[in-house]
Amino acid sequence: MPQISRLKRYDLLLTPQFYIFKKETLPVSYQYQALKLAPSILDELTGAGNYSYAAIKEDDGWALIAYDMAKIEAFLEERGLPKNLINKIYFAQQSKEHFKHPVSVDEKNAIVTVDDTVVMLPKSIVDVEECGILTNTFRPEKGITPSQSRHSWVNQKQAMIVSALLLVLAAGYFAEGLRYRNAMVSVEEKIENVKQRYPQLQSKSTMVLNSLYESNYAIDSLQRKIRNRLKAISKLTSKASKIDTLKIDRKQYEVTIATDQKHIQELKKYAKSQNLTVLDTNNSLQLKGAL
Amino acid sequence: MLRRYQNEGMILLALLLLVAAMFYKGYRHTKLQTSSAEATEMVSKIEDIATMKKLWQKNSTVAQKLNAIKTYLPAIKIKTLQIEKKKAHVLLEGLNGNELNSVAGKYLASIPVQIVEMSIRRDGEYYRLELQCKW
Repeated sequence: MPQISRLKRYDLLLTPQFYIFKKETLPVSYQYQALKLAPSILDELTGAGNYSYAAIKEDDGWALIAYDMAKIEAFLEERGLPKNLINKIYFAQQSKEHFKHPVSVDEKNAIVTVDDTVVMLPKSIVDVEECGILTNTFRPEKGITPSQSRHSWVNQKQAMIVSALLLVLAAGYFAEGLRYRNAMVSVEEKIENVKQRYPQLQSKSTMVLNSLYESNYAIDSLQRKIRNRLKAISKLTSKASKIDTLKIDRKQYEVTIATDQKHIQELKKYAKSQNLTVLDTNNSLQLKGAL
Repeated sequence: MLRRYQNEGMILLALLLLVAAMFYKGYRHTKLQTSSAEATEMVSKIEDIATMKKLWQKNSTVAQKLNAIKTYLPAIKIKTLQIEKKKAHVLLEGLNGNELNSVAGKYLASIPVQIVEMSIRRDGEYYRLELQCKW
């Protein structure tokens, strides 16, 4: 066994004792279809074990292969090659045309193609003089990458299902986020539309708009208060109660209403209900208050 | 090592994407809510400013409406009716109770002017009304 470097990854060509092989003519065109059929076809040959399967298209049918990766890894571990250094595995059957003449695999054994099937034979029954050696030219085109995730907590199928569900959820959240972003555009359009309706306010900043609002609101509020006070005062007048003086400006109001003792209590009551400030007087109703 | 845990890695990556999408949605939602509230307030303010300005400061019919007082009262009772640069000074004398109610309570109150000062004084059965306003 040559020295194994931990820095390299190794490709392995499995000799026939590591796999079970059967050639079949199957009514299928694709490898995945042949792979689906492989377990049932090889069932009687494999027996108990945790087998993986490979299907290789050949000129006159399918080469179906079953292999126990755990056993292969255990064998390699024993010989100092840990499983994480395995890059690809190939099957000797894939390179059957290279084994028309025996090829030595160790001191005692050689592999050779007999009736289109690669088999392992003791060197004692082959012509040792004709034995070739294994070189890189024997490497088949396609190999199998052993799953490094067999020791994971979840298998590949479960991982794909869970990931797909999470991705669907993520897509939902993302789509909703995009919907909110589009809604933002319509909010901005709404502001633009209003600003276009009032071009004189278009270039004003938020601070200026706030200030404009405050000043206009102050005017509006004050003038409405003045009118409300005037309206309330006018309801205090009648044939029996007449305004003597009234003065109202932007800060306060001051009113004197001449009336008689009969009506004064009633007028005071009404004035208070209208939030007018009543001064304590005897012969007339005096109102004075701030706006 | 990485390949060994590729299944967990796949789930973790999907989970990270989900968390990122949740944050994105949350950020957009908060931003929309804030902007919507701000926009509604701003739109309402702009409309209010425009309405109030039009009502109290940019009303072109005020002068005309003030002048129409001449049709309500005999000329002798209108002592002053000065209208200058969006300001007016009105002095009415000799108003009876009905005229005072009509002019002060209904007519002047309905004109959208900013009342700067208004005064009423009774002299016997008649009233004197003085108004200073602007718009």
